[in-house]
Amino acid sequence: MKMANQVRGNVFRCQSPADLSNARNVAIEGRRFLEQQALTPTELNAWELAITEALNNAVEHMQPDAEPHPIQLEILALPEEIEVRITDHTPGFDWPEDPTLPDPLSEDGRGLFLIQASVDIVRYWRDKEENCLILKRHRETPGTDSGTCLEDCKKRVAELESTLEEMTEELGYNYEALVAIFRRSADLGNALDQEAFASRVLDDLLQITGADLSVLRLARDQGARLDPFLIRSPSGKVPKLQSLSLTMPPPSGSPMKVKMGIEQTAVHSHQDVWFKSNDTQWQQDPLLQVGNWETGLCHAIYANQQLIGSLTLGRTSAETFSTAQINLLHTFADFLAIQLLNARLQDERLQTRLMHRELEIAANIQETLLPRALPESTPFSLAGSCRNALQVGGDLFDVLAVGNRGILFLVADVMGKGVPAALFGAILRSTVRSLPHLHHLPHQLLATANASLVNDLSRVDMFITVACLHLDRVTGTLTIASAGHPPAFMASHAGAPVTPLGDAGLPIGIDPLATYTPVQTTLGPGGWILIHTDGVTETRNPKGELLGEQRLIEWLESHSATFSDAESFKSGLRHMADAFREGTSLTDDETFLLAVRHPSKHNPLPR
Amino acid sequence: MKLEFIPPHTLRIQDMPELTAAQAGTLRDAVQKARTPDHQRLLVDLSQTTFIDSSGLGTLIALHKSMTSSGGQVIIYRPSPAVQQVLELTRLHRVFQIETE
Repeated sequence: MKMANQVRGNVFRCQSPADLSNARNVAIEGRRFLEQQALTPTELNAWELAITEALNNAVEHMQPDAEPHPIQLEILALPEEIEVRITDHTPGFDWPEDPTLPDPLSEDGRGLFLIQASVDIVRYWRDKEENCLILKRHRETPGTDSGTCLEDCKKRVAELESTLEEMTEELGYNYEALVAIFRRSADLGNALDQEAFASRVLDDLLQITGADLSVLRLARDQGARLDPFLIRSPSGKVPKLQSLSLTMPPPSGSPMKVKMGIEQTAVHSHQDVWFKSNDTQWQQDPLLQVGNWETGLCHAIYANQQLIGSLTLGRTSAETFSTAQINLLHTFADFLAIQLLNARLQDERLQTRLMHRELEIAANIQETLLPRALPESTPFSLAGSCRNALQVGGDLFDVLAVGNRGILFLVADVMGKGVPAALFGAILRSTVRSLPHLHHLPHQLLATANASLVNDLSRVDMFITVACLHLDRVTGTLTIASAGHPPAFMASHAGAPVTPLGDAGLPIGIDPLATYTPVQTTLGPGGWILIHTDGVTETRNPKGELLGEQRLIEWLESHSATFSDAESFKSGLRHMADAFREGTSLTDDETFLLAVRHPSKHNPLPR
Repeated sequence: MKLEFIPPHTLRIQDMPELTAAQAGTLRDAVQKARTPDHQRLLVDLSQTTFIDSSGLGTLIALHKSMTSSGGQVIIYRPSPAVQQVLELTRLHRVFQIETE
């Protein structure tokens, strides 16, 4: 047998096996009930004592071999008094009229006295097999009427049921929403395109919220406008919506009153906008073209304070959206925003990666085009240098033997970047190599190359500056033609001043009929020539200053004589440029060619 | 329930949330086992005792009788308000020595 208790309004009932331990527990339960009846601590203590003593009594008077009957406690919390009934199934005992205290040193006999002292009225009803002890005590603070108590309970139950219903509904929505979101998240792994993905998310939302009208717009142009992205309408006929401008309306007080539509209002105020088709306020709004909005809600979607778009949901029936449904709208909007932002970020990352890759490829192409070995050049020494900045790929140089006593030098700078520039560089090189009969006539070489490439170059808005030189090793005669290229620098012999060389015509790719003027000079012993691209003179130091032609000339004047051959001259020039840059990296390709005539007067014939 | 010997002569009993019929036997046995002739004072700490009934009172009286018969004493130490109320109601506050320090 276990203890079982029951509370109905202001009545407490409890029953338990008849032993001292359980009796005490029953008394404690009784006290708990009385605590809810707002009794004072004094009353509570008194009742706990009385009930414990009475229940102990009932237990102690049980016959040892009698059938085990439970003891029973009943408490009635009446408005003016508390009534306690304790039922036992013992033979009972005689309740003295006026219980008194026993001898002070007596160990027993105080129970009845304590009961009497704790309550106002004691009645002991005895029957054959069942007895009932009734205790009453007046209440210090009156309780509520049992009638109203029931009404209160009914009201409370109704309130609780209503709350429970709301919570269940919300929970149901949240569950459905979660399932939908999980499903869509799984879709992401299947690389759906943006539109298909957003479309499915929107359909989920419509289904769960029971909406049948929807317009999703995405922010474009750094939040300057809202473009229509997806539209849902029960009629199936979907109107074509225009892009909405989001540029801030002119400040108030200006003569022109700009009327903002529903979506613009939501975006600018950062608050949801409720609307209906028959609202006078929104008469001309483009949203109304989509359908008959009996109820509509427009929500601006922001993520990380960035405007993503607007999501408008509505119904052709008059039922407004519940709080749970509105929460769902927000949740789905947020989810969509995160996915779109992510997609954008991935795109940007991909773009960056692709660009880097392209530049890598361009640099590789360039590298393969540089001459492996320079041709026999006695009495000249030759050196070529081409250092790439990763961001470009347009410089190149080439050195070709012409007959058995000539050398053709080519330095070119393709104006453009990346793989296209590198490809045009390659085409130029091939074109030049394919015209060996013009290798000793640089001006004609340039004109022919130009005629051949001008159409392709102008189609992609690119051009190439070129410096082209022919050197006769035996005589030291130099013939130079330039297509828009920076002048070469030379010293005609050891100790001669540094002079620029070259009469620049138009770059290749501009005018199909361009012609070029050759300029001739001679390099004597110790003489040299430097052909370069503007990556050499336009390099910058950390302060932002350009190296410039002047500084280059000054350096050449003071240092050129110290170099006995092209290789050391090349190293010197590279070091000078690096020192000027103070260790910062190249921002443009640095390309140059050097030819240095051996200083000896002895002029061996070429082999 | 916790028993502690406090030199030179005191045995202290404490941590009894209630003193009722159920605890009566346990308390008596515990004291009987722990007590030695050295223990002249039985300090019953009722500061944490929130409920006492007639059986509990009976147990205290039994302890009192047992101690005093061998020259000792029982001290009711810091009775809680509920216990004090019952002691006064049954006039046992004149029988026991009650200390509040």
